[in-house]
Amino acid sequence: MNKRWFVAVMAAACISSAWADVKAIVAYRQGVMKSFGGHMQALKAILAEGQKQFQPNALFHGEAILGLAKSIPDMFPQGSEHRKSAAKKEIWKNFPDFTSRAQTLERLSQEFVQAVKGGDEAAMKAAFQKMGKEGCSACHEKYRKD
Amino acid sequence: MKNIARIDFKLWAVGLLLWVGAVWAAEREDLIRRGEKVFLLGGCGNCHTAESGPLAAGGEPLITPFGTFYPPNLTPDPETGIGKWSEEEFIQALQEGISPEGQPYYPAFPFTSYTKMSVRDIRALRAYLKALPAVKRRAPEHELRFPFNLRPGLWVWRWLFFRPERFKPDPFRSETWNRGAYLVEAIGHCGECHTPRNFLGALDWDRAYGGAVLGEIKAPNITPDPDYGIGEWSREDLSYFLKTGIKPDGDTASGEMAKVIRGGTARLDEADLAAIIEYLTSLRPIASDPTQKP
Ligand code: HEC
Ligand code: HEC
Ligand code: HEC
Repeated sequence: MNKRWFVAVMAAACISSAWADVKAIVAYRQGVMKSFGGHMQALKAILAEGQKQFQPNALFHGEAILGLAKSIPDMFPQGSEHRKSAAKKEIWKNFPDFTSRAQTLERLSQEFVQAVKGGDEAAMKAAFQKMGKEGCSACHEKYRKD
Repeated sequence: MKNIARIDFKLWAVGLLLWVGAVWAAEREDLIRRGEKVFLLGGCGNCHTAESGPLAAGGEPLITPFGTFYPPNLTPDPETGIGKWSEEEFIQALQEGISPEGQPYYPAFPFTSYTKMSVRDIRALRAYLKALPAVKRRAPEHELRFPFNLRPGLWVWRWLFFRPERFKPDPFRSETWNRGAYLVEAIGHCGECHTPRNFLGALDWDRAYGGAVLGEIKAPNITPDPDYGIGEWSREDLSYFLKTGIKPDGDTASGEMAKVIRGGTARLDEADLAAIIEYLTSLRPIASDPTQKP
């Protein structure tokens, strides 16, 4: 009897700790996504709303996105669904496609960083818009609840 | 002498034919290109094209509170598509929501907005669809809950909620505003997602563009209300969003709206985009939003 209790308590503890892990990983990925939003907002102010004095920061913003884009797939482990999460189930049905969309963001943020280093304003603006539309939005279109 | 004149005449006739042919082909090209623009902003492909399936040959299942719809094949295949339809039948489907067999369509097909489209635009749309490769692919039957599975019930629905009507320009407004109203209401059918519905699925135009939840689609308030709508967005913000999907807070469009932007508004020319913004910023503000959690 005691043994059974022990097993039951351990099982419950495992489930609840797994659940706590899910909550933590959702918090992490939402934090990263919000930071993407922050960098995009800042870049839009620099590139589209005349805050040119911050242009030297454009590189940091771009590199932050580039650096984090790589680990997007790791932030969505199998089964990390949660009431507070806007991640769609389809992510785990099509994980290779989800991963390839993260790689697209990685490539486009790389292109943006190159454009910033190149210094041509028109090229920077174009690369920024492309990153938003074909990098961020293209993944949200399929895998994020609206 | 006679022979030469005849040859001359033949050459001349061939030249004329070629010229007429070229003009005709160029006009057709033009018509098809215009039709493609209507197809894109109209979002026809969003429902009628399956993921990685052939263009317009039937779409992904459309899950609604009334059941699951399977958007049919619009390619010119005579059996499974609409290849046998006459131009009149196509116009009737979009403007009246009635099939060639005289049956009413479900409003999951947003003919309730397309009814406002001009015959000119619908003809262009048909020319575009007719030029697509024919694909043999039959859409499954819809799977709807009782009593929505009874198509004749739609006659009652129509009698209550649907009046076929063309877009009527407002003579007191500018040409740009009227163009914007036409693009938003007739082709873009923004209200089909952003305007709430009553329990029978009819749009509640008293709360036009005030935000709506339909199944999994949560489309927020896009009226100029500063608290619940997008009143804080500048015209430039709105234009940037409809072109790139990037919002003023750096977030980017998701789900259905990402599709609307990628296939539709991102491809508009500047004049049409400006017209849409002129219209949206003139809407009556609505101070609530069913998509925002309390
Ligand atoms: C490979 C897919 C993918 C890419 C690329 C991606 N996102 Fe996301 N994003 C998601 C998913 C999925 C969610 C929902 C996460 C959740 O709630 O668990 C999300 C959520 C968000 C959120 C909401 C966060 C919150 O909870 O408040 C923002 C903001 C966001 N993303 C911005 C961006 C920006 C900006 C980019 C581009 C720089 C980007 N995302 C790129 C998939 C992606
Ligand atoms: C929101 C999804 C949606 C959009 C957008 C949409 N349709 Fe449809 N369409 C449907 C559904 C669902 C049906 C089936 C309706 C029924 O069976 O009553 C349908 C039916 C049709 C039919 C009748 C086909 C037949 O075989 O009887 C035509 C024609 C059509 N749509 C054309 C269009 C065109 C053209 C556009 C763009 C201007 C468009 N649709 C946009 C969902 C959509
Ligand atoms: C098929 C449904 C659908 C159609 C059609 C549609 N939208 Fe949306 N729209 C949404 C959804 C869902 C969201 C919320 C997701 C997001 O913001 O990415 C949204 C978000 C928006 C937003 C951002 C609002 C905010 O507060 O963040 C604007 C602006 C907008 N739509 C304008 C339009 C316009 C203009 C049209 C017509 C050309 C249109 N929409 C057509 C579904 C739709």
